[in-house]
Amino acid sequence: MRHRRKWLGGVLVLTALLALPAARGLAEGFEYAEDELAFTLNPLHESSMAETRLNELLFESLWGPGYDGSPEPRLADAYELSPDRKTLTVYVRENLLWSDGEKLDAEDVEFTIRAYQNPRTGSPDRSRLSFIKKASAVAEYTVRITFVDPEPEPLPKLYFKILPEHKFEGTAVERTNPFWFNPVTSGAYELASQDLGTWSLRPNPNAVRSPSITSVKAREMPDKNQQVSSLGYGYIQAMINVPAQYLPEVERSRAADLIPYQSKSWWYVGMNGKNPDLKKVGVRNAVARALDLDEALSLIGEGYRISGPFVPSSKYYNHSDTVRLIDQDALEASQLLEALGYARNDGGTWEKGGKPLKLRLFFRAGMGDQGQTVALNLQGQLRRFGIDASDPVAMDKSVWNEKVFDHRDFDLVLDSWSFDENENIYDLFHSNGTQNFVGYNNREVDSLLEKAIAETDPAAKVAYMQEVHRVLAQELPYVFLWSLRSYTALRREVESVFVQPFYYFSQFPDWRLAGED
Amino acid sequence: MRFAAASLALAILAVPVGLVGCGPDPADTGDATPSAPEPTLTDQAASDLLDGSWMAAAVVDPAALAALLDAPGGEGWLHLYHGDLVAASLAFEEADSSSARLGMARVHLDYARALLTAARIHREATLELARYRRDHRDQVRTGTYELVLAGISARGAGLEGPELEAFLAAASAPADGADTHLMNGLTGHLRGGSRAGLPDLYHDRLAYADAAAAADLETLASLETRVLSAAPDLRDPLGQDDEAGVRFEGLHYDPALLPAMARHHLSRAWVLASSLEGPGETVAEAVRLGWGGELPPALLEASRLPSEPLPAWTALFASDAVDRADHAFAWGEPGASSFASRLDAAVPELDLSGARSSEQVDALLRLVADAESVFGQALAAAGGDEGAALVADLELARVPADRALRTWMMTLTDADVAVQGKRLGDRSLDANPGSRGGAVDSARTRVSYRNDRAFLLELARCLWRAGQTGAALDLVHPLAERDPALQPVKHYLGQLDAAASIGQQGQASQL
Repeated sequence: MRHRRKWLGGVLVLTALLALPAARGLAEGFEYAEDELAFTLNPLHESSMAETRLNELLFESLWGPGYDGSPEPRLADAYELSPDRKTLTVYVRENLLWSDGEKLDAEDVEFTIRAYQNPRTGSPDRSRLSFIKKASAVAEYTVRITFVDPEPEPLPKLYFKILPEHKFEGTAVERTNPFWFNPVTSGAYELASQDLGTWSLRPNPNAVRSPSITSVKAREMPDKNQQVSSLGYGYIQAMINVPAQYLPEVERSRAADLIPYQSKSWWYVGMNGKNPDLKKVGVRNAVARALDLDEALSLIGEGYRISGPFVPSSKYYNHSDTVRLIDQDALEASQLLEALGYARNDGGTWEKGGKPLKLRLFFRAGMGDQGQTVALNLQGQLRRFGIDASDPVAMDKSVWNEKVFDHRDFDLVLDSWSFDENENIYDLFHSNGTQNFVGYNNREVDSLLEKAIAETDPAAKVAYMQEVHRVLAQELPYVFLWSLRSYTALRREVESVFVQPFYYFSQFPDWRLAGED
Repeated sequence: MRFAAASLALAILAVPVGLVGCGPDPADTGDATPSAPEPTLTDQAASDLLDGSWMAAAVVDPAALAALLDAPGGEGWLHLYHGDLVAASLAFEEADSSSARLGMARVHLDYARALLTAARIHREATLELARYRRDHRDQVRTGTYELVLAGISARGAGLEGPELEAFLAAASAPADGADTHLMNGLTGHLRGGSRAGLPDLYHDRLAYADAAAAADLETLASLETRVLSAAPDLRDPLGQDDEAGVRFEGLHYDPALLPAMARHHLSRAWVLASSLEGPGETVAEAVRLGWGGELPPALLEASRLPSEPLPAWTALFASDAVDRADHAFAWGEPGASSFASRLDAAVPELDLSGARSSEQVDALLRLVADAESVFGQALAAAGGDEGAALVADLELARVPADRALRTWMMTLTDADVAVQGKRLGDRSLDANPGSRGGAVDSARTRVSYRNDRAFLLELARCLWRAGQTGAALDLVHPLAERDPALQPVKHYLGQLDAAASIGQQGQASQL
């Protein structure tokens, strides 16, 4: 079986690679594979890791994460923090140009902040900028930023990408604004072309940090076999995420190195609070207890079950005895439903008032084969328990944005979240959170999240977050599934590689291709 | 059951056959190492470097290796190869032979090295947290015993000079609402006086540390179970939020426990194997170096058991150190010649010891990638067919390659260039633990035939120093789940990681 799969993978690769440049001794540029391509190049609407990575190549922020994670200046070159820590004066580097040759100045910074904060923009990162009360361009290259509260260390909060004001007509920048496929950039690269399944980049002549590598292509390859083979042949130089079952093949090739890619990610099944059944905590708990998650996990390899919204190694994960992983327990699940007035009908399906418990299940196409495998398994398990789960439907990013985020037209969704080192779950579970698409609303959790964000003592912050974990483990707005260890693979001709946690490409301008000097 | 060297190889190999037996694989097409002429390691230099290594000795004399494995408890060496110290100690404990005693001593040495590494992280992280809380006094909540505990941590971390004096001076300040008895105990502990008043667990742990310093094995054995838990020595109240029902505490883990546990292991290694004819000298050297001071009389006078002679190299079989000198270096012998330094000398065109920049580290990575295959050829050439099979099946060429990368990783970490050290550590990390067998939880803990505990903890330290505390926790957490002694490391790194997130909100994205 394994032999056949590899052979089949080889055929697919040969077919797919006809469209790629001829085999070469040395790479002509840097190409990397994503399971699902970035949908938008507008940082205001960035919501997937593929978009985060690509935008890291295209845009700069005022400050960005340095090699050691501490803030280093990018578009800014100096700052002054007022004694009360409530006003930051930022000096933008002078004589910077956007990729189209227009001047980059303080007006762009003011515009960007206002665009993020404009509710009509609908940026998922809006709350990241809620600490800013006002931003004003007070001189050509000087921006004064006033904070809501004192900010002792504001620079890491300024990692959001700066946008060119001249490309927009107002600060309400909707997702459909053509900037998403026709951006003007300040980063190391600008867009060269977009073909089916590929974003091609070329160096931005006006970049603050000029790259060594002369071209970059982000390719969509949903098939992991194809990714592995392409990596082995040298058709791509990086495979962003190598699932556990492919590690031996990549390792054995010795052409590429496996490097841990820290992104603090975990999988979940989101349950829509708009659904009258799933609105009830008891039903959500019954769904969770109907599932054998170890069985589902075993289908995709090694991973670590979680009881709440953090990876197990997180400082915020609550490991106390009061917070336990939920094991499959059909009896308890049945009792929970019976207590709420549900009963099995003649066909064995749970119903209430003659209405069967019927749930539509979706997963994001970017979850690839693994997502489909898990979704099918969960569907089968729910059906065996008597919940009429639909055939799982894959949604690409654009459909997902519309159906899940905009219209909340789903019952169950399988997906995963990744976080930077701050592990900010505020927007996921706060009733006002920009990414709370399940519509979870719990005043206790709202209060805890607000206190955790405002807390300035690390021990107390940990305590608040662990309490959030405890409550969410009982309330289950999501069925929390597992965390998978994440490796990326990079061919050895790519040198000076430093994979930034979460952002991946932050130090890409320093990367080099052997023989491309 | 009789083992031969070849059967050892078979026993260790758990590589899925399907992956290696299905014909040409596109992933095999070419090593992409750049073709530009670069200084490389010659075959002769590789042979010279590995002369005296345990790998060369095993390859040249596979019969001696087979004899080691044939002896009672011999399967323990297979477990040791995989880093499965629990299974190894079970196998060695049940046997009565010189090789089993040596194997058991090796288990203790492996534990000790990991604990000493953990102790270093503990000391450094505790001090860093104490400094953070001192420097952010206006932002943090005040613990009742915080100042005296900070003094204990600062002293335990080896801090000296005015900064220590300042910590100690602050520790003398009276604390509002403090339990006088407990305060006296803490102050007594800090000043070397009476510890009466400390909580029982804390008291027992310090008694255990005293016993470890004296190598009082009887007392150590009586206290061991009691002191080994994830519980902190003290919970310092930091207030509470009644509305949220959340209580805040500062957890204190005294820096004395981890070194004491290491000494306990070292003591047992000494008793078991320091007198063994052949490998005993190497074991004794490790104990002396790891002890951190003069060995106590109780240890020097401990009865030594009669033994059968064993080849000296067996003291190092399946260890990460390449040879005796490298082993001494790993245990901290000043001036010992590390394998990495000798590799550096063998390629004089590259200034490896001075490598700090990204380009220099690139050159280093290229060299090691090339050298690994040269090492493999040199080892295979040194032995017959059986020896060559051992080289391939045990992946012996990886030992010197990994060792060089890891030594340089630690050097760079200590030189405050941990970001580049991380690149070396990443390259030598076995990304697929469990692929060749080993403990059932190896995929979770990452412990494997290449990833020993001490390396995983060294890598965690490097990651932390490189600003990736979350990644460090990712390594430490699964180890701490299995070994509660590592809980302090996890706790303090977690607090520092949380401190770095104060005032930040961060970003979430779909995978």
